[in-house]
Formats: sequence, structure tokens, C-alpha cells
Amino acid sequence: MAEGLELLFQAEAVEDLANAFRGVASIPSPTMVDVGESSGGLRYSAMTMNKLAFRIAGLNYGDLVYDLCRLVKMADAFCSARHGYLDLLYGVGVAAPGNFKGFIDSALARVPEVAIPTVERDPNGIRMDALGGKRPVIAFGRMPFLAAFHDLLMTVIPAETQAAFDDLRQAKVGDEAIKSASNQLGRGLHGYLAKNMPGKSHVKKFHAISKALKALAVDGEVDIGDAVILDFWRSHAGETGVDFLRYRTVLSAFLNYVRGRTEADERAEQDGSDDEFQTQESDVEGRPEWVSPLAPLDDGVLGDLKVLTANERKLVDRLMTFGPWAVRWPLSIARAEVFGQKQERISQSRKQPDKRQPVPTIIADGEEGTYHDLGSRFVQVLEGLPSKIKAAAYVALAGSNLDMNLDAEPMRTMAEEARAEFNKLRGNRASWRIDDDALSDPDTVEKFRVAAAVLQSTQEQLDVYLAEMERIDRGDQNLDQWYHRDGLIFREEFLNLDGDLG
Amino acid sequence: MTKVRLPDSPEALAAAEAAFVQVSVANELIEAMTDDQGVPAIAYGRLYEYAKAGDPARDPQVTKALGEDRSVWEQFRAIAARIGNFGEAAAAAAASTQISHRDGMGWRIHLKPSKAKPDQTYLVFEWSDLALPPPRILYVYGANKSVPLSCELGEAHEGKIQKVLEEDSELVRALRDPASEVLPL
Repeated sequence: MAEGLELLFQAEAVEDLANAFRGVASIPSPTMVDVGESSGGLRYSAMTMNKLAFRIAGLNYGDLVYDLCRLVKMADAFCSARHGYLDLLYGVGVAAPGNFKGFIDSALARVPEVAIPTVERDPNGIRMDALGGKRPVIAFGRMPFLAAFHDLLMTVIPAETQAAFDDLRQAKVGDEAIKSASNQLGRGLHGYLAKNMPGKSHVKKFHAISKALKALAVDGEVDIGDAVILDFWRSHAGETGVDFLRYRTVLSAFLNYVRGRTEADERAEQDGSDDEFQTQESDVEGRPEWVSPLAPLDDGVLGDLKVLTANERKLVDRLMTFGPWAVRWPLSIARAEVFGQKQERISQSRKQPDKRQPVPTIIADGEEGTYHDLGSRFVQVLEGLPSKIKAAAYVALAGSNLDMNLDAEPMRTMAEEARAEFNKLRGNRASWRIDDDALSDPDTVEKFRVAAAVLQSTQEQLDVYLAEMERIDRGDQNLDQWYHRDGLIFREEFLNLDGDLG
Repeated sequence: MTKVRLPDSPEALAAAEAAFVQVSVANELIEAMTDDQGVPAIAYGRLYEYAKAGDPARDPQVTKALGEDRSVWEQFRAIAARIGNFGEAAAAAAASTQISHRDGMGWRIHLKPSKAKPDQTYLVFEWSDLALPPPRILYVYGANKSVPLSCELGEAHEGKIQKVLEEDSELVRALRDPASEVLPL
């Protein structure tokens, strides 16, 4: 463990920090003040919150603290004297880049230039002139992220955050005041995370996986496949002191291991290029992490529009969360869905003595189905997607300002087909029932654009995963043979771990 | 199948460990945002919007938290004082009986019983600095630190806002209670 981080990873419980994230992520989008961009159901997008989670979990927030302080100080120049930066952070409605741009443009237009010597407008954002242009522009694309960070700070360390910003607002404009406030906030957050960062159990998991992989390595490298993951679970599920009891936990830990390795390698490559308060100029906040393409479904962006049923969502969720890794570990995904689900039922059965069922009964009953059944359920979801994609794309395209001639072939036929699909869905599903007048409404168009993208990604992911399952089915052992073989293994392990329960 | 090169030095091992913890904790936090476990904290931004809206029905979860959690109540009070134009909530001058007027920083409230309808009371709000925008909402903090009462003040005419309230309403009782505090927002 790197020196300095050790203390931070001692806490066992994630509860307080997780509840703070739950709280910030569930702030409803304000509808009172909306200056432009489409308003979804929540103030912060899932993408913004996911990236914030990675930054906080990586204790990598020095530049965020610094940029938030810069933004707060700059906002003082064009926001009201009494409320200052709060006008900006909460005056934009939904925290979207375009809304920040709209707010700042109109605020700067209202204030005479002479009154705002500290702020320099740039096509992509704003910069603090008083720092001599040393620091880069704070891009509009970064502002939603900084606003979410502000909300998190005010939720976990309200007194320290308020004090730091009060001091900053009273201080003379300059880098010294900003650095001082940054340090104050950085210390406060560090102190909070020292008590609430749940690293200890993960450290134990890392060392258990590292040790197992080292034993398998050839020339310092190891191939991690489905068999390695299953074997690891079998040999570690019963251990005390580290929680590998559930198969799904082990699969997630291996995913975290390979993602962590990639992260560490990339960080090593970047070493030496970081300065203390490195800032991002791009509209995208940092390097993109894998985020489930289903994330927009949690943003409320789609409003009432239902693109997947609750069962469909539940079924494809893990596949989408694993993203590119799902096809590398196809059997592991199937095991998690079928036998992982059975393990959940066994666990529930233990908690409810009156409904207790013997392990062999749970293993043998067909509730979760076989691997083939799982594939069939995926196919069923997949088959429903093209018509929804066409319908959503129709609304998105017809209402967009793209210079596209929908009257010329082949677009005309495609557009007609898509319109027919949309009309069919509009007739059959309540959430797709939209008046013709609303089809050109920008919010509606945006909603369907996002819907089309979510459905398209789901289709692509299901396609590649099912192709991989087919490949396995044609191999030495078909899927039914894998299922029966795995059934014996899981039955034996569950009996070892949980007893018969009968 | 995924090929992975194992860390080949103590430094690389430490970096890999830190990255594993980062990804694991981040995923825990991401899962927490959509699962139904735990109790979401009432975030600052949510209280801010609630304070500005002045309508308890708009966010029942916040209303519930205000009644149950003292720290949420304290934070709400601090936010409301910060986002308004009339400073902190004002206590009444010492009095042992019910009161008919309240004074704060640059504002005054009169409670005048209606002569025509004895079950009604006029609330008249006046403020001295007419350059300030009129307040939209009135918050009343009871002595028992329960959910703050609120009412929309309506339009101002010539530096005054007048509103008719039921004499036996909770709001009027709270306004007449010398132990309560009042904040125009």
C-alpha cells in the first residue's frame, strides 16, 4: 500500500459515503429555473455521478477542489453580491454544460465589463484573468461535475466547506486565496474519507486474488478466463476474514482486478506529467471509464418513456455493466445469472426459516433455467429491440435539425418503416403515446435520441455476447453439458457452504 | 479470456492495489446510487431547492427528514438564511402572551384580525429597502424544531404584501407564538 493511502483505506463501512452519493445522485431536477437544455428527472446525470465516484474512490480530487474554488471566486464577479456562486451553481436548473454556458453568457452580458476584471470568457468556458492566464479555462463541460462535487462536499462536510467558501469570498482575488481555500477543503475531505473510505476489505480481496494469480503466472503473465474465476471461488468461498462467499462477488472482484490493472498501467504511463492542480480543458471530464450504456435510464432523462421492461432491464443489467469484459468471460456471466441467482435464493432461504428449502431442491428446480434458457431470454429481449430502435430513431431524426433529406430513397423507405414502427408502439404502449404536435419539441427529440442510443448499445452488447455463447455451444462441450457440469460443482459447493438446510 | 501482466515490483504492486481499491469502492458507490439499500442523505442541493420552493408537498422526503433529523433541520435553516435577502430568522421580542407583530432586519409583519370576518386575519408584510425584491415565501420555525411552516406571500403593492389567513391556522398560531422565529425569503 502506497504510503499516505494506508490510513485512508482502514475504514470498513461504506454506509455514510454511499448514502451521501445516493443523496446527491437523487437530487431531483429543479423545474422552477430552467434556462435551456432538456431537463430530465435528476439534477446530475449518471455519467457525472459515476465519474465523481471514481475520483473520490481514487482520492484524486486535488484539481477538482482547486477548480471549484476558482469557479466560486469567478462567479462572485458576475453573480449577485449576496448569493454569489450559489446563483450559478443552482441557477442553472439541470446541471448540463449548455445550461452553465447560457447562464454565464447572460450574466456576463448584464454586468459591465469594467466590473468583472477577474473573468475572461473563452468559447469553451471561463478563465480567471487575475491569475495571469496561468491556469486553464474551466470548460462548461466540467461545470456539472464541479457542481456535483460541491453538493457532495456540502453534504459530507458542510461546516468546513461553508467556512472555506466564506473565507474565499472575502479574500482578495488571487491564486493565494484560491490555494488556501483548496487546501482547507482538501484537508476536510481527507479527514472525512479517512473515516468513511471502505478500503480495508478490498485490500484483503486484492491480495487473495494476487496470490492466486501469481501461482498461475507464466513469465509474469496470466490468462484470466472463466475457469480461473470458478476455481478461485471454489477455493476461497469458505474462507473467513475476506468475503468471497458469493460467486457474483468473486466475479465482480476479478472485473475490478483487471480494470484496476489497466488503471494502474495507464497511471504509470502518465507519471511525471501531473502537477498538483492539474486541470482538464476538454469538455469531457477525464478519461472515460466504462459506464453501463443503461446509465441514462437512471437519470430520468427519458421521463415516462419505457424502453425496457423492469424484467428486461434486470436481465441485461449485468451484461451491460460488464461491457467489454462480458464477452471475455461468457460462462462466468451465465454462471452468475443462473447459479449466482440460486445462491441468492439459498441465502434468502436461510434468513426465512418458515420458507426454508433444501439446497438440492433449489439447485434442481428450474426457476433460473439453464444456460440455453438464459440465452433464449436474451434473444427474446434482442428480438424486441429493432422495432423500438427504429421508432426512437424516427422521432429523434424527424425532429432534429440535421440537414437530411428524408424524401429521397433509400431514406424515404427507411423513414416510412420507422414511422410505421413508431405508430405501432404509440398505439400499443402507453409510455410511447405522444401527440404529433409534441414530436418536434426539443425535449421529446432529445429523449428519443437517448432512447435510441441506449437500445442500440443494448442490441450490440447482446449480439456479441450471444455470438460468444453460440461459439461455446459448438465447442467440445455444448451449453447443456456446461450447465450440467456446473450444476454438480455448484451443488457440491453450496452444500459445503450452507449445509443441506432441509 | 483476459491476459494480465502481474505487478513486478513493490511499487507496481502498491499501485495495482490502490487501483483495485479505487475501482472496487467506485463500483460500490455507483451501485449504491441505484440500489434500494441504505438511506440517502438529504443532499445540500435538494434542501436548497426545497427552501426556494417553499412548498412541503413538492418534496415529501425532505419534509419528513426535516421533522425527524435535527441536523437536516439545522442545515435547512442555514441554507434558507443564506439564500434569502433578509438575513437570519428573527425571534420575537420578549413577550409572555401572543403577539401581533414581528420585526426582523429591515422588515415588519403585522397580524390584523379581520373586522368583517373574525375567523380571518390579515398578514401585512412591509420592508424598508424597496430596492430589494419582495420576498416570495415566509418560513416560521416553531420552538419545537418541527418541520418549518411556510406560506407563499403573493404579490407586493407599494412596498406591502397583504395576505388573508385563517385565524385558527397553524401558521397564524405559530406567528403569534413568541417562541417561534420568522424568515422571509
